[in-house]
Amino acid sequence: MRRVFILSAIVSVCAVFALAQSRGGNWPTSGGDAQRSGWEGTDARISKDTVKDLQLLFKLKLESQAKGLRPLMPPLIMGRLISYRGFRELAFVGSNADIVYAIDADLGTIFWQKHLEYSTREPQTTASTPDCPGGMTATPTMSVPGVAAPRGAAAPPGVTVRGGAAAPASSFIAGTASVYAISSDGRLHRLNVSTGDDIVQPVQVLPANSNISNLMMVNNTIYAVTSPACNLTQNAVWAIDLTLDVPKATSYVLNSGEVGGPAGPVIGIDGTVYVQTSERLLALNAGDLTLKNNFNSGNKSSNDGWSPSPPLVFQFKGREMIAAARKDGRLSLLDSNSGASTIREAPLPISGSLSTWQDVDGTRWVLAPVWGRNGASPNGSVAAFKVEEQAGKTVLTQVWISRDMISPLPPVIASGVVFALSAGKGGTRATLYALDAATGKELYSSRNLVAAPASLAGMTVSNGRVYFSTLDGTMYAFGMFMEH
Amino acid sequence: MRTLTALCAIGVCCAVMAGADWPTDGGNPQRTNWQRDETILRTDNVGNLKILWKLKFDNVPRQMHSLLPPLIIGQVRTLTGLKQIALVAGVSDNLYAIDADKGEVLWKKHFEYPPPARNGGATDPLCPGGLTATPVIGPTDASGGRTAYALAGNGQLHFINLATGDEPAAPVQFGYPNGKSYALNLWGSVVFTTTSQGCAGNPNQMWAIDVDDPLKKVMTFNPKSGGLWGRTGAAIDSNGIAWAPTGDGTYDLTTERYGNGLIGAKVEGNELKFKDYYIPSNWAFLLKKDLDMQVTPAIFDYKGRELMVVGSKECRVYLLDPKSAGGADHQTPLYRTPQLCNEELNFAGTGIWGGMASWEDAKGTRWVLVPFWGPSHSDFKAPVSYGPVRRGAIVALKVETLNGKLQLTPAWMSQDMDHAEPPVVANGVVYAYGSGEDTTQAYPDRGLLDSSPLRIKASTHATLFALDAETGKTLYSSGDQIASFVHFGGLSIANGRVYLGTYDSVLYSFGLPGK
Repeated sequence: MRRVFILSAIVSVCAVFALAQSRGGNWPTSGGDAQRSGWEGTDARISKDTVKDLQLLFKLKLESQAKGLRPLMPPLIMGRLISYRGFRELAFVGSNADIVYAIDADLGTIFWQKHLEYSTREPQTTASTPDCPGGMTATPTMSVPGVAAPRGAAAPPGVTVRGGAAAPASSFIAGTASVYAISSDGRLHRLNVSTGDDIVQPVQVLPANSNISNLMMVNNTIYAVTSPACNLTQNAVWAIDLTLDVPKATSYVLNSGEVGGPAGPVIGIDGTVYVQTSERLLALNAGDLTLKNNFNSGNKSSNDGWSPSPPLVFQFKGREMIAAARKDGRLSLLDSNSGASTIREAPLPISGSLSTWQDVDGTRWVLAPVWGRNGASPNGSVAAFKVEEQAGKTVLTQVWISRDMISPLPPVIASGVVFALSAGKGGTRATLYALDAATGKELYSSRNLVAAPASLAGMTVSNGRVYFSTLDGTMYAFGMFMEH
Repeated sequence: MRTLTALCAIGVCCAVMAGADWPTDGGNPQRTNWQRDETILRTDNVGNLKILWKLKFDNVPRQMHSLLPPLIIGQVRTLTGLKQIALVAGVSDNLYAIDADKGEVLWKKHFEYPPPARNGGATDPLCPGGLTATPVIGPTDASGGRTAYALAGNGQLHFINLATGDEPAAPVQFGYPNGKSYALNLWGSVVFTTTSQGCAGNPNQMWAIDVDDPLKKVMTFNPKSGGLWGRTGAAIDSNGIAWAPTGDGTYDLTTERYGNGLIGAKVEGNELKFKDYYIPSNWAFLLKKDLDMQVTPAIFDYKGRELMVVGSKECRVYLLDPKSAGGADHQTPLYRTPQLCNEELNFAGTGIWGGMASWEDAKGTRWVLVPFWGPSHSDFKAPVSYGPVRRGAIVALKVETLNGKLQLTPAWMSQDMDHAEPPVVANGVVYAYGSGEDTTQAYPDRGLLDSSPLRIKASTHATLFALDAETGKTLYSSGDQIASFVHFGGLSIANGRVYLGTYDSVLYSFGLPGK
């Protein structure tokens, strides 16, 4: 009898654990993790075999302003919120109209929306240029796990960080999970995920009307980059300390070069902050943003500086590696500790962030969005590289080039499937592709299901769904069907 | 003349002598909540319902739990003559036998045992510990007595002489201490229960014990699911298969998991053998939204065919054939209603909770009664209704055959009730109650917080309703006569009286004065 009880208890515990495993993952920041790898890992609902059955689950027109190339931002995903209105998987979407939406990801309906009132003395900029589009530009963030706290740094009660110590919780981090957004007036909002209400009074943390990159919150600090110098805001990396009741922003001024694209800083596994400008590839210490390393591009030619695309940071055989695009289109691979580097000589017109994933055999892959001819793809493509050891050096070896695409976005990866979005331009429409991550073979195409060119803000993949938006302010969700 | 007088006296005596029973939660093993033998209360007099008596017990509530639905035996031979006894269990391991005619305690029993090492959380309504399963009363035995089976909070099954409260045999272990068991059911000599919430380490499963087995072997079937928390435990069909909903959980044949569904198991030899199951085709969505299958089914006859209805927090009703629940793929019900409520798809405070009811009218029409919490679905329209439903209601469905297919046709929806609970039906009258319970489990500012103190503070009071079973029209309301709320309690009805126990450990007996 006791044995029956014990066995049953074990089975029940295992069942609960299995349930927890299947109960929805998160995508808490643009790019999915602190390294902005674009890799979800294993998705229980997506596989190479099933992805052919992808469907347009919903599309939702949201309020945005017709300016810039990123009217809507890629959703953050909270896989399971137990709210006062029920269990919800929510997609938090920022709009350049200073609105944050919470979308019920299962139903494709608005759960709440919050207009972040412009509220500062400086007038709101109405002018818009491609570089300085105006409005809210920073993809919000949630707390991103998996990064070591800097030595001596504090973590609030209940927050588990490696190396962190307990500290009093401030009003910006205490309590339940939140979404953090910086509105166009430069104020930081902490939003209640159940209601969209400001949990605390918003605080001015950055200059109003700046062009702010996607936010990244690790270890109770929000990192961002302002660039280009819109409204005379300096090009800088920012660290906003949330452990203080009035969050304080520390900056590292980028004296030379600009940062391109919306991606913003990426964070190494030890908390190091990496930023790449058109001139420099920098490693900054977590929190205080003091300079830790300035990686040399290794060549004095004016064409040999860094590309302003964000760097890619990943683990390879116990080392932290950085893949960085150079101005001339070549890719550098650096050891973040030793600085040793190799260069892949064949140039590619890479535009936007790199992505990375690791297959079950331990092979590390790097994916690059290419805007221009590459092999048999005349307009654009996704190029896939393996990271390999050759003659004692770590090198990138190109494995496949995808089908032709127009202005592809940085891809996202789940369960061995690469999701690539041909953004289209002008009169063409965006097309979503699913590719075999090992071979690049096309497994799915959305064909004509998308009605407009894509926003260049980025993609999200989580819990069997792929999200992106179009320039007309429509959010799209493709995914595997689940009967309601 | 004397003979005539004597015959008349016997007749009168028989007329006032209570004959109907309610020996198990839900009235019968099929959990139809239908009292077939009621003759006193009718549609034309139920409007005069009064509180005949109320009794305050010394039972101490645990979390939100207090009194379980009374069991009624119309005629029990006691040392002081035949009595109608209402047996009431309290969560703090108390049993009270009440003289139902007088409203007096005949005997009381308290199960003593050392405090179990494991218990639920300090403010957790899900795992109150103590006696949580409504007892069950067996048939008249050879000596003319009735045995009540009661499962104490330490997991021991007691055998109690209903007339005296004595225990002629030692109790046997039938579960975990402070494991949360649901209403006992009895089929032949086998007592069934189900468990949920994994309280105190108790597995979520179906349990059975043959009280005639000298070894008292405990038989179980574990569907590897969430809790089997149909309020009235398992319902038993004519083949002896016990059916119970499996709450939350995964459906996966390869690992033999049967979550978010309904399982049937039967005692064969000394094993509880898995027989059949039904899993809604949208089980994954139900799991994701925490819309458990948690309603004890009701099993009934329809034109010579046995049928079964079950529901869930999603607020659909499924019509099933117990001989092949869900058909060949186990996912195809005979009929599935649209959502009656829970448009918001909330896991708390909405949906069908507890059980259902079913009865057949004089014309042979088979009815299904469905209680639900929260607002009615905006797409659900009953032919007859009584104003907007915001807090809960009873919906009546007719079982019908259309073009050779069975369906559940909406007939009426009752007036608004504050958390409508499983009804009982007798003699053309439906008795329902709004529990007045606060069912909040999550808050806008605090997220998930299922706290008994908060919920108790926010609860109000229960209200008993009598409805015309044909039309749903309200014939009686207790208004604010009931002082407290009800959490996981229930109604009982027999011999002209309707019983309801409340959180403050008060048992109410409603009836017609002088009848």
